[in-house]
Amino acid sequence: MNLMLTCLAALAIGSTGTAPVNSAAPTFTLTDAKGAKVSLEDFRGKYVVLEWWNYQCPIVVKHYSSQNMQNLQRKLTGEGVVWLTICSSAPGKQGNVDGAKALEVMAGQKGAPTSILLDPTGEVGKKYDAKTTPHMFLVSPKGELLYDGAIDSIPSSNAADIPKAENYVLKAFEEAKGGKAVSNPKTRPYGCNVKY
Amino acid sequence: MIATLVAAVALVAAQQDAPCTFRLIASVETVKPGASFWIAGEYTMKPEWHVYWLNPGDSGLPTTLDVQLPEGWKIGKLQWPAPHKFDAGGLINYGYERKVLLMAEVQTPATAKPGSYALAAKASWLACKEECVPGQGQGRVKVTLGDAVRPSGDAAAFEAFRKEIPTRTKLTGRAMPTNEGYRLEIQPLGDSAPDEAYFYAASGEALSHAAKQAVSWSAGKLVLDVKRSEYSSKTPEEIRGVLVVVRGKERLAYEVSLGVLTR
Repeated sequence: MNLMLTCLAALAIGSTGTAPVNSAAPTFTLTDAKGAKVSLEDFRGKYVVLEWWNYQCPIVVKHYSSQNMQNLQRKLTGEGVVWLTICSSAPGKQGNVDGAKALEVMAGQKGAPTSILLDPTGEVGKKYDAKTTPHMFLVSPKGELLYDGAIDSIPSSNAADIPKAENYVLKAFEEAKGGKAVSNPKTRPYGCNVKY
Repeated sequence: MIATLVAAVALVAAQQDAPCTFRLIASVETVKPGASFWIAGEYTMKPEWHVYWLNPGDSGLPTTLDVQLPEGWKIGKLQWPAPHKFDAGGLINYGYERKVLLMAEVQTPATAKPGSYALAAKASWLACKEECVPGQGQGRVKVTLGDAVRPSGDAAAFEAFRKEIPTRTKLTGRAMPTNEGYRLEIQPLGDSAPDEAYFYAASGEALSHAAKQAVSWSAGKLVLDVKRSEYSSKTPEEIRGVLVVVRGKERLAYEVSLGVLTR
């Protein structure tokens, strides 16, 4: 009976968003900035971070001009995490990039994601219900969604807030890696809306 | 000298180009010591741009105002005019277009010496149209303590925006948990159903911003079926916010706090 109730609760939550935390992360295949097909399933056995990205959004700029995002990319990829930066800006909308532009912008900022994935139709963004840039997700080695939400605990456009903020992505990864449940698996993302 | 002038001109140009400009204004030029008056941050947006309410909705950032007062002066709570709703491709935001005043009442000390006093403020905002531009502003305004009361040139703006502040008329109501969220019942709101009603939750993690609010009218009670926020981790004890009720051209806003019933 208890199990039954749990299932119903999970269904109820599922109907409000897209993929509830701790259920299977939606699968996808996208073309990366270098032209290769990249699927989420390619990375079973590894933690995967998904970062929704619009390089012209001031909140994204906050986290790149301060090196906050790049530092996290380097730290986590250094620990074997796959970091996928996804751009769901539609053609003609702010932040929309082709592969060459994506690589140029990311190189200019000394960013270090594993790949930049192009999602100009917004299909994958909508599958994840990505609302803002940035909007961060963490997927477990088994392909379960572990975290869905904000980069950190202080919603602002001011880079001076970063040292005072708790980085939710790092915290979720460290908890999961340590065999613990993610204490704050879903938070409210903040930033510009995704330009679908 | 020329360099300063060029810099000043550049600053003015940048201000004119900015989607939102900021001024600190006071409702009076002169008041008597011990009297109160109003101070406000005035945010003026270019057409189609908006800044955000205390709960910005699905994206955006709350507008801020931080006032520094002379020693011994006191300031009341910041009063937010009733917000408006913006649809940005399915994401819903709460905020203001054109112009908004975020105001607070200032109490001067009865013991203060007559003379001119400077008040200062820092403000921040995120202005958005399709794209977003963050802004920061600083303002200063002088108020004289003397033996007269003289309104300032901005007094009319205070009067206009005071009408937009939600009233604290005692509305009673409750929030009953449902499978999807809550059924909000609020009264008294007159004898007939309003043309439109919408509940703006003060917390961004209480209700879904994007879900439609089903409005009905039942025996003198306004009933709103609202969806829970996907970020609501546990049921709150109360749901606070602003109820906006539209009848014809009249738009009335009420500050509402609804106790959540336990199932």
